Amino acid sequence: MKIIFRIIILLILTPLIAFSQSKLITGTINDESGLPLPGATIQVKDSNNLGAITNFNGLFTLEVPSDAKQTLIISYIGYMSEEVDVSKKLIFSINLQLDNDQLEEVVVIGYGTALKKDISGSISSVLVNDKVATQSNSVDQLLQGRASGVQVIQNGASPGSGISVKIRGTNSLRGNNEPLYVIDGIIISSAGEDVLPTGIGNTGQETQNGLNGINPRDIESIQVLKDASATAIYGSRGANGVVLITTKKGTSGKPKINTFHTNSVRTVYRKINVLDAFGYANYVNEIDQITGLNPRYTFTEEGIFVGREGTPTLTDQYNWQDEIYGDGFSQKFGVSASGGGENGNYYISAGFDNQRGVVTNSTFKSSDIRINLNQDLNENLKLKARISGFINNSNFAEGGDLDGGANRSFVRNVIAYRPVISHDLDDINSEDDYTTNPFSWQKDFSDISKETRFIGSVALTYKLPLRGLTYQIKYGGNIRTKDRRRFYGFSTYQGLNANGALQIMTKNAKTHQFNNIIRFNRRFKRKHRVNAMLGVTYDVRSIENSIYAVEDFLTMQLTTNQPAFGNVITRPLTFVRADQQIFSILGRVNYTFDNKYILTATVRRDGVSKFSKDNRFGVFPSLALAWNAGNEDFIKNLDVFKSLKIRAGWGQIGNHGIGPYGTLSNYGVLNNLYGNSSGGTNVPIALRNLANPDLTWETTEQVNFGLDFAILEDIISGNIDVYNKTTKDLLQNSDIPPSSGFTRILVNKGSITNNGIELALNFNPISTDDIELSFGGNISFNKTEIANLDSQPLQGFYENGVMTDRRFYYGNTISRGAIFRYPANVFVEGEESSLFYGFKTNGIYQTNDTDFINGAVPGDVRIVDQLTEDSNGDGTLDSGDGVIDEKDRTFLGNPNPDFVYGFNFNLKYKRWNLSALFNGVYGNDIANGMSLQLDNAEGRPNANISPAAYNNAWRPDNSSNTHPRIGYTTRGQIAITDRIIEDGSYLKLNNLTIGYDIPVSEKNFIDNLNVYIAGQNLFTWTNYSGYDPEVSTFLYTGLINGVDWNGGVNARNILLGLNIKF
Amino acid sequence: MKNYKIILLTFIGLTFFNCDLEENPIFLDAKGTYSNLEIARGALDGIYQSMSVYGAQEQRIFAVNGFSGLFVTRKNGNSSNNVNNINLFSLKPTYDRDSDAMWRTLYVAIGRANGAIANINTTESPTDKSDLGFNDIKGQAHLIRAWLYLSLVRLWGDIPLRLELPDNENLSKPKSLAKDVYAQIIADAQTAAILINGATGPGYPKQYAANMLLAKVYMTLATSPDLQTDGISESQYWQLAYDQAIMVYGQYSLVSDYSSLFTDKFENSTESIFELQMSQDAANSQMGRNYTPYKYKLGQHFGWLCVHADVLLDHMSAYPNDPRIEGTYLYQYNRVDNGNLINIYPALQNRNQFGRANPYLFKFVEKDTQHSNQYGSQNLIIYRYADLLIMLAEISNELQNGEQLGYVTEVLDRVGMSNAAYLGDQSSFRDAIMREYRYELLGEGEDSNNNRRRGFDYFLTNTINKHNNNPIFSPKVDLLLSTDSAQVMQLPIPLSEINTNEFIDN
Repeated sequence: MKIIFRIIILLILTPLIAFSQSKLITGTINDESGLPLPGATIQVKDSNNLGAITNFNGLFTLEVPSDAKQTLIISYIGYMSEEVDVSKKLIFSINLQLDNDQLEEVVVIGYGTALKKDISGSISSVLVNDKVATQSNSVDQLLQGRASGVQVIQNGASPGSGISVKIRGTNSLRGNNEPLYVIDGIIISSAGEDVLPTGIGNTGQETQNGLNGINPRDIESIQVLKDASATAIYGSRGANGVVLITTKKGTSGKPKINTFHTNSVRTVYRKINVLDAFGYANYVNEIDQITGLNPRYTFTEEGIFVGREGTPTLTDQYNWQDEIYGDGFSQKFGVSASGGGENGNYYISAGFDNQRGVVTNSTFKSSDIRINLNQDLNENLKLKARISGFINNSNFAEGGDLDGGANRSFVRNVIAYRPVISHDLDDINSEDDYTTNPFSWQKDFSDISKETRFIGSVALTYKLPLRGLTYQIKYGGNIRTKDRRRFYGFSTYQGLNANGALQIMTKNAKTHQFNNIIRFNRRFKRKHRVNAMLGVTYDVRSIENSIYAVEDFLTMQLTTNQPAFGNVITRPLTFVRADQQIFSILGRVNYTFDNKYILTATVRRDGVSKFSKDNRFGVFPSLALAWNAGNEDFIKNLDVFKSLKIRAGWGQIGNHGIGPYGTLSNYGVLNNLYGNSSGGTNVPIALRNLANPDLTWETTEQVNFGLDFAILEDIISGNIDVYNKTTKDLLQNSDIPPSSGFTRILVNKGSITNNGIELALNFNPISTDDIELSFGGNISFNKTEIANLDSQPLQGFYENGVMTDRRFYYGNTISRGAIFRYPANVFVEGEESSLFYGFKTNGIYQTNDTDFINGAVPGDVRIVDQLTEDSNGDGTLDSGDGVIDEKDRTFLGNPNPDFVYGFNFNLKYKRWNLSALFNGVYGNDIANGMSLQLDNAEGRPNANISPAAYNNAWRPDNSSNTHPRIGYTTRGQIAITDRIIEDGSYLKLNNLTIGYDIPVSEKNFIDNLNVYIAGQNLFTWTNYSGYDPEVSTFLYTGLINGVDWNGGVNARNILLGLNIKF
Repeated sequence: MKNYKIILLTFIGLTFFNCDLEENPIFLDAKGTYSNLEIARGALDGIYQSMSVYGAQEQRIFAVNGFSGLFVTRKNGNSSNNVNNINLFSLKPTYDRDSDAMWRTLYVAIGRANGAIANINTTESPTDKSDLGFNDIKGQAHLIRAWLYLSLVRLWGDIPLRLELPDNENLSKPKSLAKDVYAQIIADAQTAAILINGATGPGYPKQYAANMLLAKVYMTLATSPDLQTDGISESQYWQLAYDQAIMVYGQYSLVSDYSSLFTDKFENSTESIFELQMSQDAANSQMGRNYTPYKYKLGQHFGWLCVHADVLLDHMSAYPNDPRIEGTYLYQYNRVDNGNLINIYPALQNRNQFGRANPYLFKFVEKDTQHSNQYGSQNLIIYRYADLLIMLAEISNELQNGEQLGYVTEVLDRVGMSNAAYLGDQSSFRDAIMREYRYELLGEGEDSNNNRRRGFDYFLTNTINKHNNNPIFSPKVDLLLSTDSAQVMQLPIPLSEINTNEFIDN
């Protein structure tokens, strides 16, 4: 039937075809200055087939049928298209005008792109150059110090360890303050995500980086969306800011091949001072003397002997930090190929990375591949495909211990393990030795992770018949699988305790999104420009974690490889699912009038599965106005500004970074089983959580005013932003009274405000062929205040002994061990967030003192008994109540920095180039948990201490007012003291790179050969006494802030790199 | 143009298409848990599991023994000055992690019991298996809640009394008067005595456990005027206690070998009234690790509980050659690794070294010296028949009903000891029977209450001063117990509760 129909149509049309005529048009196409434009395209309007291309002299000839439209469209990239009526012409010549819009810088924004000059929100662009990219191991490293308002906390020593990125202060007090990561339009959002923790005993499991697999070398650009106008398009997930990552694409022309190779060495440059072997032995002997025992150690010319009774044994002596921390050598290499033709382009890359940490068995090996393709399927249909794959294998990330007791952590053991070792120690006191020899950590402990990750997307963009209107359908996602296994062998404390212990955790995360977007991007009558979009997205996350732990091994030879040798399953194989769906409708209009006045309005309606039906849907609007004052004549006439833009924006955005199922009661299987009378086990079931059906997202309302400027032809450029953010309904996993039968509940509680100013300045004073000089910096002031805790009751709160009724709550308890087992932070309405709260001290009790409190003795730390009594009735509080208790707690410090800053310097001279990047924070305090034991001579004969704590210890015959007596301990203390509060300000030389372009002959097949040497994390200027003031112990816990608890060692990385372009 | 329309239609269609936003978690809900008998039994095991975890078992035993005035510890430092010894164990309690953990964990168990009580329907006269099963489970939940609140109120006095599951708007609860808590305990135990029918099978308590608990409550009330209900006299309370205890009499029998009670070979014996089921495979008990002395066994060992040396000397003096001494204390053993003999006082006469000056409590020691794992299998007995017999002896002595000597003689006959100490008047019988609790049940969890039950003066005379003034007392290795009445009778509410409970400030 169809064939007959087609024949009939053909017969009807045949006469028309036979009688049609055509005419030959000839023309010359020139550029704006009248020079010929070779390669310009000429097409008959509304015709798909007919067209011509100008030759080298800008000439063309084209046959136009008489029945076709007598209009030609002349187009050339970078120029504005022109339409020419040829109904009465056979020859013509025109000059095309430059299309400034196309030459303008285009930036990626949420679900689209926009001209930079049309942007009305606060966006920081991070340029990614190849040298920096090849040095970086993860995307978040690229952000440090390079964007105002962005604070990055990372640990320089530990390959693969977690990194935290905070945009514009603390947005939320729940666990995860990380921004949303979007790669080529696909939301990844996995920072801070790791396998679930399955510690043994009081150990905690360090979180590893959740952004592995996003290769910095493949990144073309990064945009950090900061204010509500920019992020509201991400609705209920935009409040922490959004990091948009665009990967590279090929360009037309011959294939370009880039290869690189780097070799680097990572070294520890800061060690903590502890007693050497002789000092330590003297310390222990003094403990023995105090407790009335014979000295444990004796000294001869042969060395140090141990043994109180019988024949003493010769010992070995170690400086553990020197023994354990060595040089970690790493190599990376990779290759990329890119190119393209008329209808498409490609970018393909592959790389291999072999990193070693500062501990010998700390390794991180990975390899990755990426294929980016763009193809015009026909003139109206374009295909974009992005796919990347990543596999990685790491061992023993040498990190701290998240929340475990002090003696169980690797970091703590390397610092404080006794430096005198006997292999034949026969002493009953060693039963207190709940520690692990650092060698055992190296030889008998494994923390192996294997991870694979695939990120991909396919987009089809169809150009609709209305000019400027396109429709895009995009499907993409992320598949991440991780297998992490930790094995404690017999010589570790944990392994001895359990006779070998293995924990196996897996994560199987799949996310996929389906985006449908209609875009309209068009200029009307030269003065009106509209860039609008309307979209529908469906975002599905499907995550399944598993946990399994087994102990009591028949043999420990197979370590992580064979759980079947374990006798006792301490954690039956358990699956923990965390699925989430979000359905959204979103739209944005960006309208520019006369290149001067810009309006951007966005709205997004999200439906989120993790909330109950009544709270599931929310609308997140934003509005921004901008004035490109630089385009006003009166500004132009000043001849100072190249550009000047003033911005103002408002919006509401959301945040729901909590797990799913918080509104449902979870009756699940418990971690441990229960026995039965037959000697077997029963599976116990219990309510695992306290559901909160009222949960909803946090809402952040933000106002932003900004100014962008470039003066003196871009010699000086910069921007200033001032903002105010208020986040209400803060989501928190809050500590609740234990008498409720539960310890925590997810709640929306309180609101916080962030007020801040960001300033970025860049100078480009010299830019010639031989010399280029640029430098710049950014500084961000942010103040976070607890605005409202109205869901909390008014309670008695003590500050300097004075009780007032205030709304407040405490942060989370730090450790599960005997030391630091209390919260360090308090959240008080009207104060800055997470202030340190505890006891003030005033030196050391001396022998002749008469005011001993709480059974203190001479040599104890004098904790200030706050003045609470008016002893003489004069109306002034003049004495304490004689007891040190919770009422004596007061504010001790502030972990929030006054400002964070970064600055850079770039110099290029002929073939040489030099760049330096510094970053720092100022004005924050750190609670140094390590000093609780290091700086108190506790008198525990198996833990080393600092020389100051021993040498300056208070003694009856040698009083000290700085360090307490030997035997003084903070165990049993109920709060921190100001003795552990330190200034956490620092400045780091984050990166220093010197490069040289080796001359290559033009005939050589090599286009460019660059060699460079770089130093990462080279120097830290700080007064902080711990390893690293960039405190990274509790990266993803909003209720613990600024606490260093077994934080990892700080290391610098020196790197030699070679980039070759073919 | 046709494509254009299709695309627009697709787009609009997607706009109104309601993509799935429902959650499908892989766990049960309340209805699914409590409406099926087998799953409800799992929920009952969930309650028992919370009573067998570290906080409710190891840390509870550590805290109640530490606060009894009879023990010393090496936990947190092998010294009489460690944080536990100078605070809790010297009867100067401050905020300490063990009692904090005990508080938290026992309230977790209360929460689970509350869940079962709220969600399980019972039948008044059950006949079929299902009805019997549900009644038994709910009865046990009442029994457990009664035991949990009794454990808490004895140590802390006024405490939050929570009888329902909390919700997000009902998280804090003020303290209730101890008197009201006792009233609730009585109500729960009475309900338990009616509902428990044995349907859940072996390894779970019978209704007699509720009777025994009620007897203990009435005994406490008899000697605590502040807690008594108006109109009920002390002797009436003793009678109420007798009425409950006598219901248990004869339902159980003493095992012949006292020491076998503290092994994993003779569990759920005829003497056991209320017992928690531990299993290495369930990984729910580290008692063996925590309380086994240095190198007594192959695996890890902490040796956290030692008995004051004078307590052992008193026992030896009262009952020379009592087999209970061997089952209760450990002061001489051979190291498992090299066979060397380790002597501790009194085997080692020199009391210079803290670590060897006080004998270990042997009851919770892992008896298998080849044991290599941190988890053990020895059950924990909450109530046993010997306790009931001593209670009956004490009650009968107060009532002077003539039965008292018989009950205590049953206990002493098992170990071949004479009842000569009980042949005096009511007062001397009273003192002897209070000591008998100690000889028979030392360290099993009741000492703290038994020592205090008769008031501060009795505690001061018979425990505190007796220890502080004993002839071998040495300040270097012994703890000087507090004599401050305001300090020694109760524990402070844990800071974790004060920090989070809007109604509790101290």
